[in-house]
Amino acid sequence: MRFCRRCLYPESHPLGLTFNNDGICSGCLVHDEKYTLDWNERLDKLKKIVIPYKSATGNNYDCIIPVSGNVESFFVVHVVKNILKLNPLLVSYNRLYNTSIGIRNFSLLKTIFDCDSLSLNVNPQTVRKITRFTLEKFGNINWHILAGSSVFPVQTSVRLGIPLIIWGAHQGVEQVGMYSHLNEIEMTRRYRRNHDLFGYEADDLLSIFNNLTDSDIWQYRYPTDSQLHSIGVRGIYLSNYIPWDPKSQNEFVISTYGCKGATQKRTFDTYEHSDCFNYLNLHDQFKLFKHGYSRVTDHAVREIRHKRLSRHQAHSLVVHHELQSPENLSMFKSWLNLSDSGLRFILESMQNPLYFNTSDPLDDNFRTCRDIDKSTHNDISFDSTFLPFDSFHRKNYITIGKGWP
Amino acid sequence: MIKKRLSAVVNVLDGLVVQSLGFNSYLPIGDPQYVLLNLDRWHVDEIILQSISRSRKALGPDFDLLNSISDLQLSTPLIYGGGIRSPIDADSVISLGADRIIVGNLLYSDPYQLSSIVKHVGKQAVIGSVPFSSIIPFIPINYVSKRSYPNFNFLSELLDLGLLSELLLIDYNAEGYSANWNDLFSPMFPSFSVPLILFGGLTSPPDISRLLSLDIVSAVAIGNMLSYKEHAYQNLKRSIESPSLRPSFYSSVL
Repeated sequence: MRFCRRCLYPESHPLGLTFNNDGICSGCLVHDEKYTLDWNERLDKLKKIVIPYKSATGNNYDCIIPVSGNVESFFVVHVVKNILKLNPLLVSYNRLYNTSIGIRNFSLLKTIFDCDSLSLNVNPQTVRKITRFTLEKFGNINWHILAGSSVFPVQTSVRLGIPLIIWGAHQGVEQVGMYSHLNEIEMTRRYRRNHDLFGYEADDLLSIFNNLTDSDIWQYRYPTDSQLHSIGVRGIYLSNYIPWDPKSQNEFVISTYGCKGATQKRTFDTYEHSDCFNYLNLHDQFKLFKHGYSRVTDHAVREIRHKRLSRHQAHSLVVHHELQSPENLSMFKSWLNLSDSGLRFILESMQNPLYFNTSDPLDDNFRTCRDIDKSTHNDISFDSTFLPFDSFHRKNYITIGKGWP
Repeated sequence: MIKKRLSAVVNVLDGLVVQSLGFNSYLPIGDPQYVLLNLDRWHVDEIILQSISRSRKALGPDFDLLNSISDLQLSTPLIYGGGIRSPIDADSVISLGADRIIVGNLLYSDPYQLSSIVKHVGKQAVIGSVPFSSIIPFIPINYVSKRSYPNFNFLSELLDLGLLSELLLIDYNAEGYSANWNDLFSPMFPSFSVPLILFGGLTSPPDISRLLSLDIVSAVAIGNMLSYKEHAYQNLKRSIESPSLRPSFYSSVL
């Protein structure tokens, strides 16, 4: 297995990774643009891009922002409202695995920025049916979240005639350097299907081998090309115009607006995914089994590229965190009516033999970036501390939450 | 009047669709089947599927790739290039769903095989691919050996024998960037006896429109930019405003 000589990503990264002749990955190479581009110029360009979308009469929203109870949403809304001076409609998809921190953050977001909002709440029975299928088919419990949170803003854009959708970061650019920042990549159905949804759009879930019907999946259907074209729907990413640095941005909004993170065992980052019981637990476990690395590696790579962690420090953090036992499993099993043996069976079936040479999913004999060439480690010390937060107190999903604080 | 074409180029390297930059560096885009399905839904005029580095690695055509996309039931004409060395290769590629084939390295390494291939699959199915350098103007380059040739005369015999239906000219240095193809009008540029497909750094609608107005040009090919934005192909076509192209199409199918 080949790894980048600068960060910790393997060549098998699911988004695709290429290397230059020096063994540096495309993600690191594109990240270097953050140190060379004129970001003042790029922000000016963004301001010009959004001008035509401002409502002339003030009777409609200028844009749509997809949000959640995640801390990152605060930064996106902050930029759109306070820097771009737009009047956004916040749209969200109810993930159902909601923590009290997430509910609190989400209520705070809507209140403090004084924004209108719309939410899509698909009934839990339907979501359970879909999740049972996606869990068994490709070991993913988050398909409904990825599908819903990526399609509802587009559906709302078409229904309400608000063409502009503003997203935060493009995952492909940030992780694997899929595009240069100068390409100004925009939202596409192709990327969503290929990378967000593992090749499965809503209608692809229907099969004679499951009990899903049209009434279960229509909520996740993408609008047609002609519908998108009739409105001029366009999804842009702030990360093409602002040098994206999640740690700094999250710390800014935490101190400015009072949103909260959480301490979670499987990573050192206390800001991300505090709104979900499962993302950094069971979902993360599946990612490790299928792809040989988990979210802590994403965080570590990010901090290496921002020159806040050495490769050695990052590697140590990954080794410490990635095999921590996932939490909140009982909650998920109870929600999906899944037995211990059933979940264990699915977990074991998702183990990728490229990474596992043992049948025990919790065995320490697991090949990941712990096998990287350590001769490329450096001993320079950096500082990448994160603000401390509590772990989750309430141990039940909040399907619908209200109010803050 | 036969319409001209705006072709969509898909470069595949080791099973992954990539952005190609100057035949030298590559950025990952995604899986071939989703890229092709997307282009098919966009009703592009044709897809040029280039499996790059096959000849450089002496691997032959990428049959795994062709097998994986053969079930997609694409309605868009598909042209395949990459590693074709013999009539058997050409036959196999076409039986797996390609409508036409591109031969590149073969033009330099074994031009006499070309005659056998044409006998097997027919001249109309065979396109020759010639990268050239526009930095030292109009020097053809073999991208496998990196050898440059003083002029295009090595193609003359092949063209005179009528073995190629079209010629794909690729601006080697501009591939993945932005190019100025106005020098096509230069008297230094050789005149060819077959229609040309032009590729490499073509992003400007006025330039593309001007090139399509030339009788010798049958198609212009676009690559990397097709993955940057939704409906990139249709919107580019509308901007070109050329009556010689089919109109753009936005599907109403879910």
